[in-house]
Amino acid sequence: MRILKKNTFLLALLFTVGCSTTRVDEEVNTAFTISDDESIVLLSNSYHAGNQTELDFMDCLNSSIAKKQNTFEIIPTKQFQNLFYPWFEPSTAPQSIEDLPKILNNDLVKSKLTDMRIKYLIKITGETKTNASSGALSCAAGPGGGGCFGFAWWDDTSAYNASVWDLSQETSVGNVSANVTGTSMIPAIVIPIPILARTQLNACDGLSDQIVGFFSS
Amino acid sequence: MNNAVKKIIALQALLLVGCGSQNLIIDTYIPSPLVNKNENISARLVFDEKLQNFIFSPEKVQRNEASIEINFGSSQVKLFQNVFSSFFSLVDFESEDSKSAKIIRIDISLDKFEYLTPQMAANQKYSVWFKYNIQILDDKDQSIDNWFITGYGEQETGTFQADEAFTRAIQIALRDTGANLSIKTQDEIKDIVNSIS
Repeated sequence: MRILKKNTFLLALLFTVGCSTTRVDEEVNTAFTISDDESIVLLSNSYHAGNQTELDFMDCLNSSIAKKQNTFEIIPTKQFQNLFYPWFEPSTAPQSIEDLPKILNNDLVKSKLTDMRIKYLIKITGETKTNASSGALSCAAGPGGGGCFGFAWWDDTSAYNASVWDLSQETSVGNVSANVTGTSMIPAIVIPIPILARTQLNACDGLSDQIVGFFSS
Repeated sequence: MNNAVKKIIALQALLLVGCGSQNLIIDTYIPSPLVNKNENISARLVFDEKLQNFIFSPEKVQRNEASIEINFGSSQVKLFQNVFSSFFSLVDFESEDSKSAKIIRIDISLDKFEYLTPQMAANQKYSVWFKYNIQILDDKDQSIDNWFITGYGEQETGTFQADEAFTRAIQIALRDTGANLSIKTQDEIKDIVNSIS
């Protein structure tokens, strides 16, 4: 009986994670190095420019990179923005490598970056989108109880790109990207059972692996 | 009361939550700007009465929309004090420092506060705009400069409760206002110094 319960639980766990496909890509433009006393910082492109990178994705990426390596320091995005306020806010941060000299011409910003040994700024773009959804699910509740019946599914795509900028050279040294697609579904016979493709989480994992690998190569 | 009646009351209470009101209390942290302080100039900030402890409630509440009351408390005053104190020494009306040679007066008023809820915009986010009028005057009350500073913030509802998402959108917009004001002041500070020298 105990084995049956354990097997059922494992089977349920297997089925509650939907299928997803991950594609990663890397491009190196110029040679680069990083030492263990140097730091990197992640910054998402602004919603003012139409970019919609989610805050929880940035949090996930920051903590995932910090956990996966001890070759360099990573300064959390919010901490960096507070220390350099107002120069890296959504409406004021450089959106492309061409905007970088304007900020770096500021002596206070330049010297603080040097003092903190921040060598690379990684610009994150992209978001998670639902491409298509279908099916129907209806739930009802009454004095005698309630329940759901039906089947619904949707396709998600999490596409993120990280562009690595060298702050001392004011150049882009490379790009890495992660593209994850997956289908989630909810079959319901009285109780709905969500089977979710965690595309954003997989993209966070894939992109953090790519960034760590990029600096290890 | 039998179980069936209890269940119906519980279900009705659940449905009524959607028609409630939103009461937001705004408190926000704005970091000190990374800028050079001008030790030779003192500034006296004069806030419009409406801006101090501003409580916003819309004149007209749209159909099927929850009523909203936003208590800004001293968040706006703190924002301007924080930004301007990074550029100038702030002085009060009566202080001895205010009698020093180089002093400017900065009049601050809220020109516009606008927002869109997910219900209004038919999307999944709260969007907030601020527009402030900042007048810079010399010690003889002659105008030196007149700025309009805006701030914009948006927050997807996502995993947040409606109140939390709205509050975060306001906090982001206030922070954006502070960033735009800091950069504007940084750009104009030379002209301000020259005009009172």
